[in-house]
Amino acid sequence: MTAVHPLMVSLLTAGMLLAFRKNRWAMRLLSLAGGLVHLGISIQLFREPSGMLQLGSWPAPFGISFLADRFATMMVLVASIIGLAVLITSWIDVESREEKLGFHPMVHVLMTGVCGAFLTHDLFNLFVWFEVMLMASFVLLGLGEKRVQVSGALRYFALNLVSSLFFLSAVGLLYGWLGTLQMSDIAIRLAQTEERGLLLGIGALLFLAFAIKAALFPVFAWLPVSYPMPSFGVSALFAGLLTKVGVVAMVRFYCLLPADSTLQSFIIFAGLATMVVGVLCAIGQSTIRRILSFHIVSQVGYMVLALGLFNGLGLTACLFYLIHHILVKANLFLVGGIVHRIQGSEKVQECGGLASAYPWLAFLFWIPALSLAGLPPLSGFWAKLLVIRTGLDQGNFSAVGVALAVGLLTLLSMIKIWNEVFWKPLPERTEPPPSRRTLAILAAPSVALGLLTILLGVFAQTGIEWSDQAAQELRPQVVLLEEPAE
Amino acid sequence: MVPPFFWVAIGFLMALIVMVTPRRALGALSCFGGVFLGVSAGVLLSQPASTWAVAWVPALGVELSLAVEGLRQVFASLILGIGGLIVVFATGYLGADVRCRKLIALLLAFMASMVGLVLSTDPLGLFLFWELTSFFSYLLIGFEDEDPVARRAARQAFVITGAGGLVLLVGLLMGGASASPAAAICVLIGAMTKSALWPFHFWLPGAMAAPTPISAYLHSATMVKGGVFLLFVQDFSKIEFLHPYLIASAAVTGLIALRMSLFECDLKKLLAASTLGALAMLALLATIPGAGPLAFAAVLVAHALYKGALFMIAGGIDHATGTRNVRELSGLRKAMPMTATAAALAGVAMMGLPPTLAFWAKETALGLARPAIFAVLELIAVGAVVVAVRVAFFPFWGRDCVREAHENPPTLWLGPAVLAGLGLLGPLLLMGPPLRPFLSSLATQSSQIAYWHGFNALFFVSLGTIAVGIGLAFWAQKRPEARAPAFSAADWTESLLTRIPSWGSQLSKLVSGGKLRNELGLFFAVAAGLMLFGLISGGGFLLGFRTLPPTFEEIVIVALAALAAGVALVQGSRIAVIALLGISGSAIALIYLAYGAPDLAITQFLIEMLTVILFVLGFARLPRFRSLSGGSTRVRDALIALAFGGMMSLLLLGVLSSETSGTLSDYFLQNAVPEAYGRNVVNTIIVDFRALDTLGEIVVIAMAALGVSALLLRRKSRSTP
Repeated sequence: MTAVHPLMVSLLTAGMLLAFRKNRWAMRLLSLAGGLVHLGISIQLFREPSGMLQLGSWPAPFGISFLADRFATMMVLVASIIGLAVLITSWIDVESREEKLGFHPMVHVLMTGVCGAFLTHDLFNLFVWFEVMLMASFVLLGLGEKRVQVSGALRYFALNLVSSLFFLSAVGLLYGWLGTLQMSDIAIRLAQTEERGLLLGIGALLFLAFAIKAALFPVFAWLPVSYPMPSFGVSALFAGLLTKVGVVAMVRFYCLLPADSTLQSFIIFAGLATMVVGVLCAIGQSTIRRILSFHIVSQVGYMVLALGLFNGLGLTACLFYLIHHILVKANLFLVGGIVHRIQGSEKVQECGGLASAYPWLAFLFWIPALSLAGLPPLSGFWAKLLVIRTGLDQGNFSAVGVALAVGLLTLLSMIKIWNEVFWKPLPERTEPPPSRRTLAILAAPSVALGLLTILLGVFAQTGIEWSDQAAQELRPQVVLLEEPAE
Repeated sequence: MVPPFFWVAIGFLMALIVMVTPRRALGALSCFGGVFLGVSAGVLLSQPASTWAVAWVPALGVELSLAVEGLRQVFASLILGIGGLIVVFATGYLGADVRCRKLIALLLAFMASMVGLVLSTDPLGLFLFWELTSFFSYLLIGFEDEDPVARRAARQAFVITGAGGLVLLVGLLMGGASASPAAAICVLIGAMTKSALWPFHFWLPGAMAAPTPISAYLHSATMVKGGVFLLFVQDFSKIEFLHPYLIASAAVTGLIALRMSLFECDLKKLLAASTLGALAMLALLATIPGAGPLAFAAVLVAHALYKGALFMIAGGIDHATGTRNVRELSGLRKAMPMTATAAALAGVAMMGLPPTLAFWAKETALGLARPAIFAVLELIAVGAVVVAVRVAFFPFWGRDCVREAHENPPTLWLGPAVLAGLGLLGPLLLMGPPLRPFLSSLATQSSQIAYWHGFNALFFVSLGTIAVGIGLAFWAQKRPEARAPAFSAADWTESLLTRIPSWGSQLSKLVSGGKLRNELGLFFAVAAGLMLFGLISGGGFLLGFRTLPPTFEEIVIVALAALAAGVALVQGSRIAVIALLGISGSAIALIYLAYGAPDLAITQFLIEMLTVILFVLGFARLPRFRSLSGGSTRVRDALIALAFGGMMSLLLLGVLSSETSGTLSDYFLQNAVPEAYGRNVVNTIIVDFRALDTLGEIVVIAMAALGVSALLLRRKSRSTP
């Protein structure tokens, strides 16, 4: 396996799917098969990360480099799992019209973009994958029926296009300045440069481009208006992967830069502000997906905070948090989809009584919800513990305090969902309950993701070891050592 | 010898079994389970000291380690034993209710977590079980989930104990109470929230919204004692600088408990009041140096026995008569003789009369206390007597009850009878052979096992306390209803918990969901600000022009582009704006041409033409052109645009001023012909050197085409349904 195999599978699947636009079941099976192969390849790649690959055998830094290191393969594996989960959910969740309009190929193209962004080691190539992702996600957003969906999609597109503009400008400036695009080469040249003003000026623009993608405060407004629009499966896919691609890009880029305390404290501040604003907004919402959407913002804040803390366990915490959060957040959206399917609404006022009517759903909800809030022994506890531990080790008590308070508010927000949707008596039943088959298909991916969350909590040692290994590989000095010879 | 993890595992295992048991078999199974737990409690108490540990997350130094020894062993055994009785009681209490299984499963899961909490010796293992007990407590308080009061109380308890848990986590991560003053404060706060000590006492009365078996078990006998247990285990008797705060907190808690015991009329609220007192007493005991595990264990066990019994009795009364108002109850002893007997036994223990275990525990505690602590202990004792008289005696004595009453089935009175009996027989058990060696190992110099201290001053003070308490109880029974206090911490917290969401809602309207144009303005403003911040904090850069001065034609082209863009700003017609932007774009194409890139120039020209044509076609479907922004908005937007453009130009100048060497373009120029076999360097880059970029862009175009076709198809299918 090499670094391009996951992309090849996704892209080929998408291409083949275009030929089956009339036959729904052929599309579904082919799509699922593509997802399974992708998962198999991702597992294999994760077990044996294949390292640097020069596309077209053009020597680095002149050709495009792909790097399948521990970090990238870990992210690809998690993305593949989420993709598969969403494909299964889509059998129920996505209307047949949307399927015929190209839902399946779009999902695979989106996966191509996501995996490309994880695996590439070239700054301009990263921009290309961002574009692929943006276009595929925009089409997915617009597939639905509702007019409001189109307006959310437009806002999503416009604001993300600004991010692309910033990204491209910054890459252009960087290329004009350093004359290279390959990431390791950039790191080498940056290490030699003395012009910190230029570095931080261009770096700020690039950071902002990634921050928009990752939905940091104050540039997150595109997220809560667009994520609640499409079907729940698509929401789950976006929630799990898209913002995290921004974070991954930020991590990669940050690790290329020479150490800089101004930059570090700025990133810590950005993380803290995002955490606080995100969680407060989340508590104030009244539909499930809006609540969850703002929690994405808040949780991304934790990752950025961990990235800013960086030293010691900081980077490890950031990577572990990424893995944990993708599994948990996608799962919460899937559970939200089940609630919506049963109750016909996702407004918390209009829901109720699920705890006694569907006890199994209570389990499915609590696993990711408690993990999100950071209760032991679930994965979120270890993620938060790593962040808090790093904060304490570095004597950054404000970061520790905010991390704890935001954790508590997250818990309050999950309690709100539980009290309203699961405990409160059901106002009035309007829809007939969905069939057992429907519920089983919707629940299956959620069960799988819940199990993974529990496993990641119980075997946290393994997860932390992986993250730590990935973090060690990412650290700038190591990247420099591994610079491939021509 | 049984490995220690067994005691934790049985609860979870039994919970799983209960979840898959058919409803018909539930009654028999829970009776069996109750007996099994009772036996387990006895076996646990007879175990020799042992430890068990497994590395969990060595990367963070976390292990799961359990120890069966001393106070831990006594407490865990108590949890199992009372757990068994509660399971039986709950089966009788809920009867045929369909939620019975859920309740029992939750109780068992809670029990397992609680056992884990008291047996854990690793800080993070302890925290794990600590949080689990909070979580199950939340689910159990809100068990009557259709009742909004229960839901709110559950949320409040979870938020308070959850917040305390997080503070505790920090304390534990900093090395525990003995490591530093800050850590000690953190641990103390965590313990105070869990054990409902002032100022965190207020969630406990609200928690009485839970069904009685839950209140009896969690919010009296076991969970709330987790906090004071932690104080003891973390050796707070050595952390002297916190003693004044702890004593003050206990004193205020005791006063609140006394006030509640006089003014409340609900049986469960009264019992909750005395639970507050008992917790304050235990907290005080944890501060006394040399009190040792024996005195602590004695108070803890004695309280659990009589309080568990009285809670179940209150539940039984509620079950039989349909009320818990102490003023409406009297003379029940004829209808409910067994319950009345159990109540009397428990009441005697609660008043601290000989020969009960509680008497001995109280005397020991008083004997150890310094004057300040002694006074607070007496205050708490008065409150306990008031509650004992009002709960254990008033409902059963006096004139006949106006309400219909009947004796409950044995499942409802057996538990309290067993507990009350143990409280009475406790001293005998202490003296007896099986436990004596074990208890001796707990004793310290100052708290030997002496049952009778003689007719000393202490004894007469105790008598006085009891007399005062009985008098107050009679007074409280007659006095009119109390007004609600002006300030209630519970209400204040509740209003805070409802206000946070409304603040959040306002905040979210502020930071998102505005006009798209404003968002765009914000994004560009942030970009300009960040670039400026980066430049300045990086120390700026030196401008040095390496390029030649501009030629005449360059100046003309740039002037043309700028002029067209400027005129476009003030135009009132769309066509004119588009045409002017087309001119501006074409000027850029001319720049490409001037720099010797004809293929780029052609591409740019084509794009400009296509854009203009497409826009003009699209305009036919648009509404009339209107100016939507006012003067100030325009000024703001102009400033943002200028700032962003200015910063970009500045950075570009910086880039142009710096030296670069060994760039990609040099390589491409050299290798295009020999390696890529193409004379057009741009083409070799697009299709060979960086072919993957091109593939990606082709995918983007294809997706855009698919998206457009989807939009068109969607519209077609909507117009022809």
